[in-house]
Amino acid sequence: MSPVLEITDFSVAYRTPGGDVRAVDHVNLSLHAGEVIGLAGESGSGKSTLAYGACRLLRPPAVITAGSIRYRGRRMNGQAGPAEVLKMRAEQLQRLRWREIAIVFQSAMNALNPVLSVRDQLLDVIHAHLEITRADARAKAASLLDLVGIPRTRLRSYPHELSGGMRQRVMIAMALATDPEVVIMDEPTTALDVVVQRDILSQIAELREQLGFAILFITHDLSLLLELADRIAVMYAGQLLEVGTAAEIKREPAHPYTKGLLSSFPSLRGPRRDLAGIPGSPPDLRNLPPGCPFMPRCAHATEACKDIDMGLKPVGTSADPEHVTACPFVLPEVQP
Amino acid sequence: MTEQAPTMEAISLSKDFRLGRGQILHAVRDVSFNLYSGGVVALVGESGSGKSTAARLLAGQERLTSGAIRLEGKPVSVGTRHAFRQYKSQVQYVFQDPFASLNPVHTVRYTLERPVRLHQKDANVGQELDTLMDQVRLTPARQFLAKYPHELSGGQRQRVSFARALAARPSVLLADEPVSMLDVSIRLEMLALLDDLRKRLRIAMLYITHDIASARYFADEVLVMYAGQIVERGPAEEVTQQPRHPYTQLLIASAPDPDNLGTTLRKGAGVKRDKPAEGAPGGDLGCPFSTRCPLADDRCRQENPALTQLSQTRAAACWHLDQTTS
Repeated sequence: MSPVLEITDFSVAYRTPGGDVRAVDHVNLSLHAGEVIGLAGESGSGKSTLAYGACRLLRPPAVITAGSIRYRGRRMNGQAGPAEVLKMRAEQLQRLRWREIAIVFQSAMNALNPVLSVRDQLLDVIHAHLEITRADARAKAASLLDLVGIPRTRLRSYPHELSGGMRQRVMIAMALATDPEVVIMDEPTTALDVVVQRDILSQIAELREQLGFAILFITHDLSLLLELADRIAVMYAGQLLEVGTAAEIKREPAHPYTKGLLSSFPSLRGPRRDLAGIPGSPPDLRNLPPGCPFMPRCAHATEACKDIDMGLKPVGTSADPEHVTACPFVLPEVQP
Repeated sequence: MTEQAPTMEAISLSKDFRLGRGQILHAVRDVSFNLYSGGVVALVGESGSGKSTAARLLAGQERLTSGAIRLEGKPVSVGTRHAFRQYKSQVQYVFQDPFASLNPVHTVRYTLERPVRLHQKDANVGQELDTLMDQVRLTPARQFLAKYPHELSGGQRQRVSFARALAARPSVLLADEPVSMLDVSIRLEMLALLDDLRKRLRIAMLYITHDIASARYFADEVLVMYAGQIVERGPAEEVTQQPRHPYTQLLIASAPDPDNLGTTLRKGAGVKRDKPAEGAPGGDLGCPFSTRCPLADDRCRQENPALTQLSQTRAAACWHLDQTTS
């Protein structure tokens, strides 16, 4: 099966007076139809830049320096092959964005327009991207709220009258207005309480099941991804360090950074584990060491790490193409 | 709990805010707890539960509506400037956001020198700064002292705010979500640092968090707050492993569980989505959690349960504790 979104050798740099900051560095990642990919990384790891770059939503000083983004949606059957996003003209991009790839932005608190009612914001999106009558659009707005479990009486509400969880639900309803093929979710639950967070995540999982869109879910919280995602990509300093199914990442993390992340969050259930954490702090992208960017914090680092190839290679001896890592030296340990 | 005398006692703290139109928000209701030297008490709750207000009351930054605070056995008064300053040299506050709580136009040296001069009149300032930097492991000290906040990473900034709080040589540290703005990979190190500081310097610590899992590892006692009230309290391991209040149970069931690969999310927690009826007139009637609680009945909606002692160290406020054993 060919992927809906195929990111190949993709690089983004921020042009600064002191030289280029390579925020995304030769990333390869494919998203299949109906799949949830979790993109895990700390602040500054380039995870948002990667996602926004894939829809060409970055503004200068960000520049896409290399790579290709191929999109192949079910509504593009007429075309021979996948469409190259990086070569699209403005009006093609306008059709791609939201209609094909929608985004749920971080911090719903600020992403909604405070002076427009929920209905007007929904109508705005619907009219901008779909050609339907006013009456149909109003009916659609109401049914979108049904979809995310908000009573229709809230159509007249303004953002400040809604709780944080409801605002986030409105954001999700807006993203789903055009029945997109791919939904990018950028930390959609970070500012919410755990109880509301779980509510929204189970709603997202339910809607995905029902409508069949694929999700690129960006978060710094790996523990959340283990539950939600089909596959997980771990990003650090603009590069992917490991990609695998959620089960593989949990049971046989191959990269020392992934292992460190897994032992960084305190568990609530089961016996108390020894928590190790990761010493040091995330690197300064303006001043990266040669070779592996994780080397200064890595317990297994050797001289050879200074000139390793950061390409993703299958883990261990098994030729499983699904589970790949950038670290050629450390063999996976099977977790108990 | 140990048999020592508490460093700080919070006795029936209450704080009301007037909202206008005669409405009153009971931000903190009848909250009592003790902080012991070298011990950590975690105050766990969602945003709006009153946990930060409780800490601000202890810090002397809000006036109590009712209740009392005792420090080393003596009642606290922060009425005058002098009394407030004296109090501050014993009780210090660490803010959540190290990006906002450090003045961007001052160097680390300036940020730390001021509290040292203020609270330790005859200290050797240079030496004291070196000690502080060493305590929070920002070494080499000289190099870091010359830096401005924007030249530091998030973790380093939070270390500076720890050092600033320690500069007064406090006996009590109120840490308001000290790690929640930091990256996952460095949170643990910061908690380990706080843990080390409270043990080494025998500081009594209040750790405010929404992350009950971190409270399990870091705190001795856990207090769970909901709508301004303590709904459950007890030793950290017991509260997190055998929660008795329905809210604590919900909180724990909602936390991401890495051992549950893609299974439980679709089932939902089976809880109604209503917000607590806080602030509404008559909101003092009834259990504040009754609008979301699966066990709620008429009594819960009319009478607010008091904390019931379950054992010597545990208590919960619920009418249905007989039904909540797991």
